[in-house]
Amino acid sequence: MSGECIRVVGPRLRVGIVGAYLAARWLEPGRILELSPEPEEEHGEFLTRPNVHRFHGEIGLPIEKVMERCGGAPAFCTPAECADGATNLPFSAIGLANRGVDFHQYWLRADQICDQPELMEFSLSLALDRAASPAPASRIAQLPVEFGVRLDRALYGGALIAFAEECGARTIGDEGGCLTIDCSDAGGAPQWTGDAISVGQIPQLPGMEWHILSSMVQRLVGLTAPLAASNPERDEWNRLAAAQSERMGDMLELLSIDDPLATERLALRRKVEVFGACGRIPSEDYEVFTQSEWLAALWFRGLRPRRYHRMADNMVEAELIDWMEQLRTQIGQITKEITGQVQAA
Amino acid sequence: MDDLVDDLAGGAVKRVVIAGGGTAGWMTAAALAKIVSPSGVAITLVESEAIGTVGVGEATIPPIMKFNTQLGIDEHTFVKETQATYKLGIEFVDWGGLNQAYFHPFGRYGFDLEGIDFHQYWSRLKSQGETHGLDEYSINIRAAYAGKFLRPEPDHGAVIGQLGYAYHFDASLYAAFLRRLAESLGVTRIEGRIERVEQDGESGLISALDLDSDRRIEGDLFIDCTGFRGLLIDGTFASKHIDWSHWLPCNRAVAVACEKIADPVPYTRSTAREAGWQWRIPLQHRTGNGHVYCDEYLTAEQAEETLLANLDGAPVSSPNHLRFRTGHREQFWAGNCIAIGLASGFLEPLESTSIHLIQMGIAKLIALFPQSRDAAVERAEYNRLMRDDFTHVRDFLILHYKATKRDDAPFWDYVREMEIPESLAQKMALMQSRGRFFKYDAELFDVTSWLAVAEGQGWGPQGYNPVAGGLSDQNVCQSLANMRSTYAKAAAAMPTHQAYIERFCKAAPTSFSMEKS
Ligand SMILES: Cc1cc2nc3c(=O)[nH]c(=O)nc-3n(C[C@H](O)[C@H](O)[C@H](O)COP(=O)(O)OP(=O)(O)OC[C@H]3O[C@@H](n4cnc5c(N)ncnc54)[C@H](O)[C@@H]3O)c2cc1C
Repeated sequence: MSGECIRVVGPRLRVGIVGAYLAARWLEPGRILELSPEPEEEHGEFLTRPNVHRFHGEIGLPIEKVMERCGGAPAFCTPAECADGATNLPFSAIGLANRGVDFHQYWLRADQICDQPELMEFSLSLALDRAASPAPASRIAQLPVEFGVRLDRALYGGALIAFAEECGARTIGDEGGCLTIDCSDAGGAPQWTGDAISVGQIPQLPGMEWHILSSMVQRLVGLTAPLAASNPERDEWNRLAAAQSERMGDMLELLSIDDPLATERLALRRKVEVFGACGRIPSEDYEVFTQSEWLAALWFRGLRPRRYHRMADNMVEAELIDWMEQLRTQIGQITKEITGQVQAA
Repeated sequence: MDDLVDDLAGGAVKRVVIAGGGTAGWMTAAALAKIVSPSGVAITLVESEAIGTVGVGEATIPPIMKFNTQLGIDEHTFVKETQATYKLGIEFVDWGGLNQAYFHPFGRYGFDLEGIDFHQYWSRLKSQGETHGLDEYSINIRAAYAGKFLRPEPDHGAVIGQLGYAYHFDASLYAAFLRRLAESLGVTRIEGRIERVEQDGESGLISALDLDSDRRIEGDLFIDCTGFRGLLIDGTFASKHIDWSHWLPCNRAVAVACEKIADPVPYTRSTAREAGWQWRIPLQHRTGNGHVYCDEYLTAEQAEETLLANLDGAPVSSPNHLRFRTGHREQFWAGNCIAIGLASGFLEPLESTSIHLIQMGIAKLIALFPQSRDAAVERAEYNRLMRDDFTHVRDFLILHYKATKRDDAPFWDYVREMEIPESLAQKMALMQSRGRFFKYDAELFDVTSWLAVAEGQGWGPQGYNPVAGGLSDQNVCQSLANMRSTYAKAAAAMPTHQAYIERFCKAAPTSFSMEKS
């Protein structure tokens, strides 16, 4: 295998994501980056997760610029189809943790004292998603929420490929002996064997395509290069990719299985059981989804902790109920202000 | 509703009984009293002065600050009352090879450039023949060797802001300090020797502890902090011991305090010896010393002789010989008993991690605090998390032995050649090839620590990640030169460690008389 050549093949947008990163972070004189994207990419919505900011920061192409050029809107959650219908999994915390105790523990207690609005009503992410405010990303960035971006597949793919070319990637040629990254749905797990990397099967859940491709190429550049990659690097890449697939598999199973309590996936079973016992959500190494996404998914599937954590008793009742109300009011105000500002502008 | 059912069934946890009043017992008591008691849980601690504590455990790592903050402890008061000093890291002498030394700092190396790890640029220059060592890029190391200290405050800027620190303290004063705190928070202390553990016939859960004074202490949840004895976790639940002595073969120690002969330095020293290593922990009033060794290669007499021959000052206590087993309980939490501290397991004190593991045990217990006496799910999760914590620390400790080039004694031949866990082999291979490091989420030691030890023992990166190839040589050289001078200047401007202590947290003087052996 040549130490200095990478070829990326597959659907246009995917090749763009991988190619742009390699072009900006790996390519240098003496190295060759060849992109072989499929000619067409269909228009349609593409969801990136909050790590899109870091990804674009690293390649020196601010996401705000891409949004200016290709359109796009902030995204606050993962839309998910589940066995029980459709739901949204917010990227950012639901409510506010207080004195080291998760918000949902307080909600459980408050709900015992007097009926509370649904837990998800305390999510600023979900409120902003519902408001669908066209506020610019620079304004949203000032809010206490994480957000990704929704973009048009064809436009985003085109912009990334153009960027990669500007950085020196070639879209023609067939250099022999390259490390080939195949971005098409090959089925199975992501795998690096010999001179070939396959991204494997990409799950249907929005945001996963972005996550798999971006993290795969970030790991590749972080681990190897020049590409005289030795076994430890390849093994590590495969280990991390497999761990990531497992974590995605857990979420997909939680969303689709009839009875989450009957899952045979160990890590998911642990989440379901520990959450049921005390409301805590154990995290595994290399989680893909945020705690709030897990909480929303578990909640949506009808799972509830049997009790709230004792530490949620650390507020007197009246203070707790008051605080819950204040939080909801603040969420309403922020959402209104953001929407109002844009309309006024 | 569930609370009510638990109450009716008599299973609700309302009374926590802590067996043992060493560091583990009092840390647990103070934390539970502060955080869990307000929700109606009574905390009782039973200890026996006749039995006493292990009497060592005087060096810590930075996360202890979080524990102290959560308990509302004022740092300067704490330092004053425990004769403490500040700790910026550990100096390792003779570990990689004889007559070699390196420093494991608590604060990071350098500043990242263009979002790429500093050490990748450092490796790049090193591969081009640059000879400036990592030490020159660490405010901790600069300050430590210059005998300086300053507590970083937000307005001190980015360089001092990198200073990470912990403490050295007198173990018995620390336990006493925590005891006062815990009692002020409502913990009931009972003096007495536990003679029998009563179990519920049907469930096998512990129902009470019987003391020598004919007292009977009932409880719902029992915390075993009885030290190596593991009176409840072993005696009652026979939780198996997972043995790691084939990887960490040291199994004995001898400890002695000596007079301090100079102002205390702000770091621990660990000097490798023929069949183990010796620690030196400087306190305000004395210096703690100990020799950790493997009894297959050295007798207790030889170990003591080596220790006494290598003290800074005259001994002020008689040597305390200790035996230990490296590893942990298979079940940290069994039935309604949770083992914390030495009762739960032990990893030799090379990186001062035991008190941290106590802290981890307490944090997890609070996060998973059970509603009822039999909490199978919480128990399983606690056991899994603690197993992971022990395993991560274990790998980092083994690195110190495996990455040696010493071949002057059979002990070092053994550890150099031994098989190591797969998880560590993978990490070492990645670190050595190009300085790559991937931290598990719950892993304690980060890239700074792994790099310090690997590089310090001649196992450091052989290459660099070419993502650090972007900037020009001149640019990188200049940036790193600026960093070196910035660190040197910042350290020079700091007050001495002693001056800092004098100004803010000087302890009352004490006098020593040599104890009878
Ligand atoms: C050689 C050595 C060096 C160490 N150095 C460090 C270090 O630098 N940093 C670090 O973090 N850790 C260190 N440690 C570990 C540290 O000492 C312990 O983690 C810490 O002291 C906690 O001990 P403990 O409270 O679990 O046990 P102990 O201190 O042994 O306390 C046990 C308690 O149980 C009580 N007890 C026992 N049996 C009974 C009974 N039947 N009835 C009533 N009470 C009873 C005793 O009276 C005592 O109060 C070191 C350990 C060793 C062996």
